[in-house]
Amino acid sequence: MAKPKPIVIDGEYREVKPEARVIDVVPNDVTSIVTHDGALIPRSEFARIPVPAGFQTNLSNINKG
Amino acid sequence: MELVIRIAAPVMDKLRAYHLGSEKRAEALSYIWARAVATRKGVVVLVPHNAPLLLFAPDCFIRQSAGNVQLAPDVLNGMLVEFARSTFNCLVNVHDHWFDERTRFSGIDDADDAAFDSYLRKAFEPMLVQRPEIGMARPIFNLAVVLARAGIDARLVDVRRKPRFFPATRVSVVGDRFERLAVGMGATTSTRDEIFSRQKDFILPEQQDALAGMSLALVGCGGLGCILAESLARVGVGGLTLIDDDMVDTSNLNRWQGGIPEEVGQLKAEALGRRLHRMFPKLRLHVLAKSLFDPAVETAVATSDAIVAGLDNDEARYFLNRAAVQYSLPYFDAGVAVAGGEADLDFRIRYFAVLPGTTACAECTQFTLIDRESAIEAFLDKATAKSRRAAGYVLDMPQAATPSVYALNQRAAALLTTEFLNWVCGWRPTATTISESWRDGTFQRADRANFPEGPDPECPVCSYYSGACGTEPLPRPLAHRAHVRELTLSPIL
Repeated sequence: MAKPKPIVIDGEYREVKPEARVIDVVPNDVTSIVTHDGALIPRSEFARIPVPAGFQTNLSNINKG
Repeated sequence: MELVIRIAAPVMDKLRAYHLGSEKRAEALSYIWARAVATRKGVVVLVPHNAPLLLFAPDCFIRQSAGNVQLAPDVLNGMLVEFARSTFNCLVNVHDHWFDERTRFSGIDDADDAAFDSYLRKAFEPMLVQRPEIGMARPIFNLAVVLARAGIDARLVDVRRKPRFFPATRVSVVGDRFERLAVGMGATTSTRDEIFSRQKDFILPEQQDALAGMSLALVGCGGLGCILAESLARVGVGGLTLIDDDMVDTSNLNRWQGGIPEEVGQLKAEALGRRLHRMFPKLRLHVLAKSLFDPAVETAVATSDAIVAGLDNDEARYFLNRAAVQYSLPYFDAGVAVAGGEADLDFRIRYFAVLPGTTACAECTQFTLIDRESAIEAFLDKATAKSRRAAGYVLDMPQAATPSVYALNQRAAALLTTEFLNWVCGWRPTATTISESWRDGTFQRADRANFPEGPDPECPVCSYYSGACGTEPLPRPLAHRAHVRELTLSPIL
């Protein structure tokens, strides 16, 4: 069984399910978060369903018919 | 004349929970604000996933019994004030016959609907004309709906016309799976054709009937589209509108299924239509040898049940994605490409589906399906669009001659047809994106179970344009924008 993931939110240590997404562990009223390297992630992005691992996501050049 | 109604699955789910819940013992009434568009073929009513839906608490009713319900006048007035302020042109009242499996409007419903419509025509619409500060003056489509456990009845009401009631022809729920609701008490038409006897154990009779009742807009009648057309007709799709303004060229004959030298110089849509008619005499065919951006095509697409596309350019996909969302139409698309050279040759296939209101659209999905920048360039410049369409199948080598493209198109058509059938029959969760690489041996299938991505709330297409039908112009290349609008917001019943 996969181990819980450790995370720190506002200095508070927590453990969450390994499959947990950002939106599952941050408060509902947060509209964006800043990661440790300074990147801003808007809520619309961290609420997204993750693309299955390993999938090629840019398919725009397969476009002939 | 047809009345076609398409309801997004998230709205239908809420309606069913409210009107047909297991604890239900009393009739209820709800309202939806929707959009309707009149075409030469009839009226299309669209209820997108984000349509305002008013589900009333029990204390909003002054009378509520097993077979009767009446909304409190102040609640009804409040709802009408808000509706007047909105831009919606279709007011949908929904009640239920929760005790029936199939149903039809009762005599009491007739009297109630006529009385409410008299108010709309004699007071509400004139009020909007006389007092624009209350709301935008517009003709109102008054749609009445009654839900039962296994069916629906629906009709437009207009007391100024004879007859006063215009019954629904087709009511569909647009979602993860195809769903056509049984309208009224009439028997459903049945397709018991010997042609389909070898597929009856997997495509059940009611699913075969559903296929027979469908009309699909097939956009692109080239190498991929001609195989798609035959594949869909062979599994039992009852109606196809063939859309393509291109002509058969000698160089097409290496991949244009069934093509013969005598057809060179003919319009692809017309030649394909003649061939399909010979193969499937019962197939309902409509040939539109016009540009996809022609307004007549918009009308044909709007009144179809779904869009299926085999295209060679992204500006058409950009247009169809918006058309799908604006007209609440499921959209299935496939594409192919050849990559590499002699040493690392690869054949690639890509499929995607947009189920408006349920899945993300091609603009907001996390998969990049359309080269947006390239599509916009082609929108602005006709020569760019033309050269892109003339390009070959090999990535980054538009002049290269291509090996085995017929077989590649067959694989793509087979993939799309299988996934389309799966959407109708529900063998496994509907696929939204698939990619395949022949060289790498990869087949990646994102579906509604492993990737249940919904419309992005911040996507302008899935929010603002959802269900907008003809109230917003579709994105056309500059050369096609000076068109005459054939669609109208005025009832032309």
